Amino acid sequence: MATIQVVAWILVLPPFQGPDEEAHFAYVQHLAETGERPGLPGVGGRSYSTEQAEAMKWADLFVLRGVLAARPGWAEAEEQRWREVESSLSDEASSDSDNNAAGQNPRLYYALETIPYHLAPGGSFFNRFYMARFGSAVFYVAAVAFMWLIASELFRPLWARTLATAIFGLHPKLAMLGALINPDTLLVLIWTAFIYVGLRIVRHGPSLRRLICAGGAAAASVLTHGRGLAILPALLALLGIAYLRWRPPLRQTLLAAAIGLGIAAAGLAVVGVFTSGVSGQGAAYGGTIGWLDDQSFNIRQFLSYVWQFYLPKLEFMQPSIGVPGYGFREVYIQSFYSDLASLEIQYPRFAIDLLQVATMLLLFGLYTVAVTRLDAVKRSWPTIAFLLFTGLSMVALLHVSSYTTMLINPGDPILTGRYLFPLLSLLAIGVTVVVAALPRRLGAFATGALVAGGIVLQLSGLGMTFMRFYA
Amino acid sequence: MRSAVLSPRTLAGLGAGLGLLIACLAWFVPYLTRERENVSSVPVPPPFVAQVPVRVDPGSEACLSDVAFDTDAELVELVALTAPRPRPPLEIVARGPGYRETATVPGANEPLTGLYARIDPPERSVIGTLCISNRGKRRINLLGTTDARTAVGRPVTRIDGVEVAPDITVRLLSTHPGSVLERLGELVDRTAAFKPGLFGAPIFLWMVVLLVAVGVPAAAVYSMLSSFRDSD
Repeated sequence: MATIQVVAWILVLPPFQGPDEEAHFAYVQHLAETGERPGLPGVGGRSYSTEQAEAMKWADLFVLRGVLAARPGWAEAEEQRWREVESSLSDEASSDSDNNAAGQNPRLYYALETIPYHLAPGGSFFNRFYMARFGSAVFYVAAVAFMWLIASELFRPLWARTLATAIFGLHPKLAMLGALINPDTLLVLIWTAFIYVGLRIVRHGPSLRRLICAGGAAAASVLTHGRGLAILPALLALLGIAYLRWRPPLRQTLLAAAIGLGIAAAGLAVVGVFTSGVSGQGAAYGGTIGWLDDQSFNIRQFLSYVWQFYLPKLEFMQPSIGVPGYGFREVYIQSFYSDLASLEIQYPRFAIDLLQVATMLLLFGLYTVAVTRLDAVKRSWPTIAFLLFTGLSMVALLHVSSYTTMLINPGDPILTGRYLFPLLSLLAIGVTVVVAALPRRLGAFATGALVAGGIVLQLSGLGMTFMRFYA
Repeated sequence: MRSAVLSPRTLAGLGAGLGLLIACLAWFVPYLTRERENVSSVPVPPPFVAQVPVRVDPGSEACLSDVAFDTDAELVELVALTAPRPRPPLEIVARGPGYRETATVPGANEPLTGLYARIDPPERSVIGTLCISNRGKRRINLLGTTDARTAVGRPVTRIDGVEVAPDITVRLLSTHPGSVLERLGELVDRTAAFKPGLFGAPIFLWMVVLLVAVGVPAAAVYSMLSSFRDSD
């Protein structure tokens, strides 16, 4: 089912119509053609290869990005002209890009994407482009498979596993992201796999294989994106919880820490090889983690910003930094489920309102379960603590990054819903826990309604996208 | 008997069925059956940030290059940004290899309005030039764009042969509007454009449409109902 969905999204979305997809493809192409990482943004030169620019020109893709009134090219004459142009291009036309808006990202995802890029039959530009999309879609399908493993680890009834996987697999924006060339999809896979391995460790004990997998996931995360750094505190928390839960002998403890942290540190070292420090253009992640040594970081202002992101401003607080009114609803609801393609395709307001109500009900449900089943919560503390620490680690990093970015440019909060997708398995777990706690018959009805809701969101998202581009 | 009727599996099916039925009746059916305009192509979309007037003086001719005229391009749509005074008549010429069409937009008094010129579409799609000539005695300001989002398309605007910064906003429309369901075949054909090999084959695209519209809901509901088998 996940495969059908992601294939449909690949075909419905015209090229370069997802968040920064033109830059991510340009990175893949530059790496595949030259073996080198492209330059950092703002250094000057060409952002895309001549070949990509010509393809975007003849398929009407430049103006399409985020402009609802625009349409892609579909006339036979445009395709014919593009074929003529493509056959006249030199080999260098595929490799002459210089700087790249995604140039600060580490290479792992892009290096993996060069495999389908090179495997494209025929060698035409759009062959290579769509093969790269299909390559990325494999990460999405694998993430859904890991969600099933997580659900199987946590829930005994088959219906609960099915529900958890359906919540994850039917998420419309995740399926859309899975169809695009974007390292976020690999990050989702890595985090979902890490959460699965982490659950195995806290529930069954830290074996050598599990520790290697957890360390490997952490290394892959930091090698994929700057946001992947949030996995390091989660890994530390995992090792700490595993120690408290299993109390292994000192030698085994040291070995476990060395394996888990050593592999993650190796990943960091690889990033460091190509960079210098954390600040400035040439630094790790293009300086996007420069806040680590940022002197202007004000803890009071930061806490006030976080408070006002989720809750109303209190009397004594200064107005929050950043865009007024940009908070929980915009990130956890609006841009988490909606704002498809280049953000221009949105679900109707009633759908967003319903999703917000459902989210509030979920939070209330989780609180009620925690209060009414305190003994079960205490018994499951390692699992709950691991999931909480993992979620908080990513959310905290996102808020810190957003805050420090807004210190420079208050108009750009950068924080958006898709950045939370690495934690989507936590949402699926939360929903399933609440439904499982309902009376049996009500729970069954709710399961059916939730699956129907997922189907409706998925089909309507695909349908609105199809209409936006081709009607 | 009662337990079979109200078994978890039945209730789950009821929940899913009700949810899908409500969505179909309240959202999907109205969405799919509503009549919509039929856009043939959009050489230059309306501005994203700010309106820019493109001044065409009496006797002057503004031309857009590299415009795709598809086989359903039957209306040329421009937008006039004219003060409340008589608007001059315009002559529209669409031309490409083996194709030439002329149409006239009569003068009028409306200040801000869409202007429509009826043309016969080419038998096969062509890439050509769209020219707008001012045949009146007053100038006209047409809606244009210079913003970084919408003025980066293929067509280049020239007035009397001289390239100008703003591109004139133009859409080409079909005179046969219809609902999504009525035009589904046409929309699937459009989806096939610029897709290589199998991905652009209509039969493959139709299979995906069917699998998504029927297969995904059926598979999701079937999996969910099957998962309740052990709890009945």
